[in-house]
Amino acid sequence: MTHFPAVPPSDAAEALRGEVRAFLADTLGAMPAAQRAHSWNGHDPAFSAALGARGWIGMTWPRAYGGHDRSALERYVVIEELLAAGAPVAAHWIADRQSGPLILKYGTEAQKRSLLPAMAAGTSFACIGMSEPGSGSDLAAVSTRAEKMPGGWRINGTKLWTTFAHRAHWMILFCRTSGSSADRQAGTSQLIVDMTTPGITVRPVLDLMGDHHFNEVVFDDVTVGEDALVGTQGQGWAQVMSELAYERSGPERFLSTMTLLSGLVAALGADAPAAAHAPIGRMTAHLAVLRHMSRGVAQLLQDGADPALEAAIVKDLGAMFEQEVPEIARALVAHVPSAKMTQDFLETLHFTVQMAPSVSLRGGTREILRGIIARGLGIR
Amino acid sequence: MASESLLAWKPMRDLITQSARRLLETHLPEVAVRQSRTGRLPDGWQAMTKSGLLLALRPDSGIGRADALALAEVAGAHASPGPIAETMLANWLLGLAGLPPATGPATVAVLAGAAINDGQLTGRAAGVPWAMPGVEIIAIGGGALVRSWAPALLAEPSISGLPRASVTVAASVAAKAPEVDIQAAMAALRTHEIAGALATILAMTTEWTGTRVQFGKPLSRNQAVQHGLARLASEAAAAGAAASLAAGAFGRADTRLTIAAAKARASEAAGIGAGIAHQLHGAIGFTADHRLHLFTRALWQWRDDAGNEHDWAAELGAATLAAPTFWPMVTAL
Repeated sequence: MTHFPAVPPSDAAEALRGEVRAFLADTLGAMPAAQRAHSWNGHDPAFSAALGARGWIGMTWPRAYGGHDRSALERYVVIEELLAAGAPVAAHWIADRQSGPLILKYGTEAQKRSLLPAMAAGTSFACIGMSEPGSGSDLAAVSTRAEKMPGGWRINGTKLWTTFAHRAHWMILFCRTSGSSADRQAGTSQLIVDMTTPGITVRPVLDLMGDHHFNEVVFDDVTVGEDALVGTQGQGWAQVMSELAYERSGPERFLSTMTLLSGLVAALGADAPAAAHAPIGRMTAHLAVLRHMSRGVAQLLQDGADPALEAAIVKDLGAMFEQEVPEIARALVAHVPSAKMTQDFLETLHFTVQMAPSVSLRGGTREILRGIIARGLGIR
Repeated sequence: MASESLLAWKPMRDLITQSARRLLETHLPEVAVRQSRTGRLPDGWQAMTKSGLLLALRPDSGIGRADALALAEVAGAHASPGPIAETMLANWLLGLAGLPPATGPATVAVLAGAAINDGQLTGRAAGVPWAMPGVEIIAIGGGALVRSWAPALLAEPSISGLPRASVTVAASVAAKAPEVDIQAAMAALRTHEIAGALATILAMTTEWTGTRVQFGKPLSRNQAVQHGLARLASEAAAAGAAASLAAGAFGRADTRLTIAAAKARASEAAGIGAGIAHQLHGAIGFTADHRLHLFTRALWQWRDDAGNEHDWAAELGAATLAAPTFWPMVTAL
C-alpha cells in the first residue's frame, strides 16, 4: 500500500548537521525554552537573513535562481535541526517549504529570476492565501475572485487564517478565475501578489493565548499584472494539491513540541525514577519511526513521486505524537526535581498544552487527512 | 499509488518476496496456517525448506540483510504458517558460527544458567517459539553454540496457538557462539512479521467494509468507518517503517536501541491495528471460521515476543534519559 523508502545517512549530510548545530548554538545560545517552544511560529527576519547567508534556505533550488543545488536529504537535515532547536524560522519558512518550490515548478522564467533569489537569501517572505471565512477545510468552496481585465487581474474577496500575512512580502493567492463556488475545483488559479499593492487590508486575528500570527486579508479591487499568474489558469486546484505534499510531510509535523520534550528529558535526567522510563522511551520510539517515514517522503518527493497519501499519514501520526507530548510531560512533572522546575520550564509546558489543539487543525485537519487516507485505500 | 513507481527501486527484493509469496500461496495456504495453530508443522512445509529461501540471512547468501528480512514480512502477511523467521534466525547464527545450515525447520534458544562441562553445554530457556519434536534447536549459552534435536520440552501456553515450549538442552558444543544480540535480531524479525500481518488485515478490512452492506450501503461509506480504516492504515504504515528502520540496524554493532525503537513502535501498532480490524469486521471476525484471528492472535503473540513495547520502551527511555542531550540521541538511532 504505502511505501516509505529507507534513506541511509550520508557522511556529507552528517557533516552538514554538525555545522548547523554549531551555528545554532552560536546564534540561539541564550534563547529561553519558552521562546523556542513557538517553533516555526517564531518570526525573526535577522535570523532568516543569517540562515540565508549560510546557504540554508532554498537549498535544493538551482544556483541560477539563488539556490544551492543541494539534495533533499541535506535540506532535510538543516530543517530538522532548526526545528529541534526551536529556531525562529517563521519568516522564511513558507517560501522555503512551498512557495519557492511552487514557483520553481510552475512559474515563468521571469518569476523565477525575480522572486527566488531574495527568498533564498532569507530577505523575501511569503504567505499562503488558501482558507477563507466560508472555505476552511472545504478549500474547493473558495470564493475570492480574480477577474481578467486588460493587462492583468482585479481581485476581490477575503482570506482568513493567513499566517504572518502581516510580515510577508508576497502572497500565493488561491482564487477563482472563472465560474462560481458551485464549480468546486474547476476554474481556480494561483496568483502571486505583492502585499504592498493598494486595496489589501491585513487585520490581526489573535489566537487563544493572545498571540498574533493569523490574519484576515481583505482584497478590495486589488489589481495585479498578467504576470501574477503562477502556472496555468484553471489548474489552481491541481497545483495546490501538489504543494500540499510539501506542506504535510515535513518534520515540522512532529517536531513542533520538541522544545518541551527535550526540556522534559533534560529536567528528569538520568536519575529519573523507573516510572519515567517507558513513557519517555515510547516517545523516542515514535519519534524515530516518524523521522524514518518523513525522510522517506522527502526522498519520494525528490524522485518525482506523488506521496500525498504518505504525507497525510505522516501528518496524522505526527499530530497524535505532538499532542501526547504535553500530556506525558504533565504525567511526569511530579518527578522533575525542584531545582529543574524553572519558570522557563513551566512556561514551556503551559504554552505547549495550549498550542497542542492547533497541530491537528493547521495544514489540514485530522478529519480531512483521514478522508485522504481512506481515499488512498480506494474506498471513497 | 506511490509504491508502484518504486517497483524498479528494489529489483532483488521484489524477486525474493514474489517467490516467497508464490510459494506460500501454493504450498502453505490457509489450511496449513490453521495446522500451525494447533502446534503442528504444517503439510507443505518441505517446500519452504527446499526453496532455499530460509538461508537468505546467512552471511554467504549473497542477499542483502534488508532484502532477506523482507521475507519475514511476507511470512507475516501470510500469517507465518511455520517457523520461517525462526529458521532464518537459526541459519544466520549457524552461518556466523561457520556451521552448515539447518536441514529442516529450526529455532533458537538463548539459555539461562548455562554451564559447560567436558564440552557439554547444559541450560534452560523458556518461551522458545516452535520448540517441538522435529524442529532443530540452536541453543546459545556460556559463549557456546550447540545444535540439539532432542531437548527436553515442556509445552507452554500460547496466545496464537503457535507452538512454544521451554527447553532444557544438554548437547556437545558445536562452535563458539557468535557475538551478536540475538534478542534484538529476533525483535527485528518479529517487527517485520507484524508489519506484514498488519498490511494483510488492512487489506482484509478494506475489502470487508467495502462489500458488507448495512443500512443500504457498504459499511465503508460511513465516515466513522473510513476514519477507523485510516487509523489502521497509519498503524500499518508505521509498522512498515519500523521494519525498515530495524532492517537498517539488523546485525550491526551498537544498534540495539534502534531496534528497541522499531519493536516498541511495531508492537504498539500490532495491538491498535488488531483492535481496529476486529471492530470493523464485527462479530463475523470474532469466529473461529473467519481467518482474521489467524493474523490478530499472531499479532498479539508477536508484539510480546522478544520484548514487548513496554519492555523496549523502558530500555530505550532509560538510555534516552541517560544521554547528554535528547535530540542528538534521536538522530543517532
